[in-house]
Amino acid sequence: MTDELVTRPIFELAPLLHKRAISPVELFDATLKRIQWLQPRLNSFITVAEEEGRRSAVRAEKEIERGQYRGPLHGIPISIKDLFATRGMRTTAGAKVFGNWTPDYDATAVARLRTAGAVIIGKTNMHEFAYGVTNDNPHYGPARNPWDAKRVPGGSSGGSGAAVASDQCSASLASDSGGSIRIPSAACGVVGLKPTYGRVSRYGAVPLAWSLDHVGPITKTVEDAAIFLSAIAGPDPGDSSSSSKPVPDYHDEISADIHGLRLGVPQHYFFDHVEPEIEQAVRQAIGKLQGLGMEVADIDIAGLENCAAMEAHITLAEATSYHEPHLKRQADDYGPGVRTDLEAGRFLLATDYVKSQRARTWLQRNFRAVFNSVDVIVSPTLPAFPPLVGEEWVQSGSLRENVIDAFLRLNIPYDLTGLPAISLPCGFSSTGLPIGLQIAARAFEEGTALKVAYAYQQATAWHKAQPALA
Amino acid sequence: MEGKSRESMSRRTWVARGGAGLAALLAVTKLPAQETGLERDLQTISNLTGSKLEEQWARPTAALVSVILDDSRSLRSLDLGEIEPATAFWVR
Repeated sequence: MTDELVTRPIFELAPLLHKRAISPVELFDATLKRIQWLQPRLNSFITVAEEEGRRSAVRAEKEIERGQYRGPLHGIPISIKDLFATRGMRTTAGAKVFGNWTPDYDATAVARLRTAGAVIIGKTNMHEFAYGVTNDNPHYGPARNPWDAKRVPGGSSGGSGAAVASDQCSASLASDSGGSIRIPSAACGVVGLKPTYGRVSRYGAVPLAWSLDHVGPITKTVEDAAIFLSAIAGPDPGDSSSSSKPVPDYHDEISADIHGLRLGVPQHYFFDHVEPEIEQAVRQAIGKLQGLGMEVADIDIAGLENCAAMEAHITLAEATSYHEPHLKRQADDYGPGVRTDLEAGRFLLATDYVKSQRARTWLQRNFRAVFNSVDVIVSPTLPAFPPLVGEEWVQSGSLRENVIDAFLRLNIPYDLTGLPAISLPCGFSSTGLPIGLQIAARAFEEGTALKVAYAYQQATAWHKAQPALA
Repeated sequence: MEGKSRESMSRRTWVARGGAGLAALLAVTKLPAQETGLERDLQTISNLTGSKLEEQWARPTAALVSVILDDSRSLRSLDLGEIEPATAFWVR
């Protein structure tokens, strides 16, 4: 049973831990064994927290024995993307620049996971400073996709996506500024939730672009995403953008009826230049949701054609502003791709940056208008399949394009608007690569996106497929 | 769907190529005239601001800046009227 344990989602493990049918130490050891077996092949971790993790597992075991059960994350092995500060544990942000940083504090989301009793099993590989989508890291080596280890897992939270998909942890804490939670989730066949901007504190996360950075979970199931979000969401005085809106119990909300909810299908942009197998799988998923009682409507969202330029100006300007002091002292420690972006960020126009921020307001209004007539917007998460490690080009339908352009394209509208969006598996290519379905909702209505995603997962079995790693 | 495959060149291409093989890029790429001029302008701005743009980074940086500025024409032409910027700042 021990080896099979690691494949189970949180919602199945939690009751077993609570009633002491399994122990957190047993679960930790099984997960650690899995990491030790897969790390040489998938390189999902930068740091494995063997000693600290075991101490946490022993503590959880004793607390549960004493009847001090903290909730569904108690004793669950969780990984942390290596840009979140972890007290006493090296935090590199995937960079040589931060290669020797051991914080003396926890990021707020990490602290909340510890409070919930989660066992931190390690820090996951990521694209250098979260500044890319392939996780081809020049300092710690590329993370690899469990469905095909010759391919990238997506990024920037590629180690997190790969680790969850290959059962090297039950879930992972990740971040998303242009799709970095949803891209690896789609590429690795797991669930990734980018909450509303302000829903989860960014405090203690090494920033990429302050006004675009979001924090959220990567999990095996939608139910697990609801459990995880409930643990980390909520106001935080450490983050000036943190919202004081009350946090619902997302887990309680997900099983509500979706009958009569309205599903919007964008007529432009989100289905332009998409691989045929991906489009087919997503349209079949829409049909499935319609069959579950949702009303489907065509929608049109104005202003999407400028998203790439807006993202470029905001990300480059904000990232360069953050990195300026490091760039002065340690420029040669940056990988060439990130270095070029950071250098360029010093020479863009301030007026273009402000125009981009104004256009965000406009885009938010355009989405708000659409959300008057629908409850969720459904699209593919990615237009193309993950490329081979080192390959920079992908095929998106009739368009051959750079992987960065392709992978950001359908994700960035929700970072620019701050709206919540979830990616979940909805099929596989003929070559066995996962396909991601993206469901977005109104601001602070993560519960609606989760509810629709949960209903879809209850009616399908895509999330139960396992990569062949033996 | 269009039958003919198209290629998209964008700002990201330069970054990605930089990641994959910057040396090769520097060796083979001939910049258009506007980017050669821009490279000189960036060096001038660098000198004025006191930030150092090392010689080996001047060309890919100029190429990237050029492509981003060119890609932003549509954004720049938007008439947003009275719309104010999105901001992360609140008065408390």
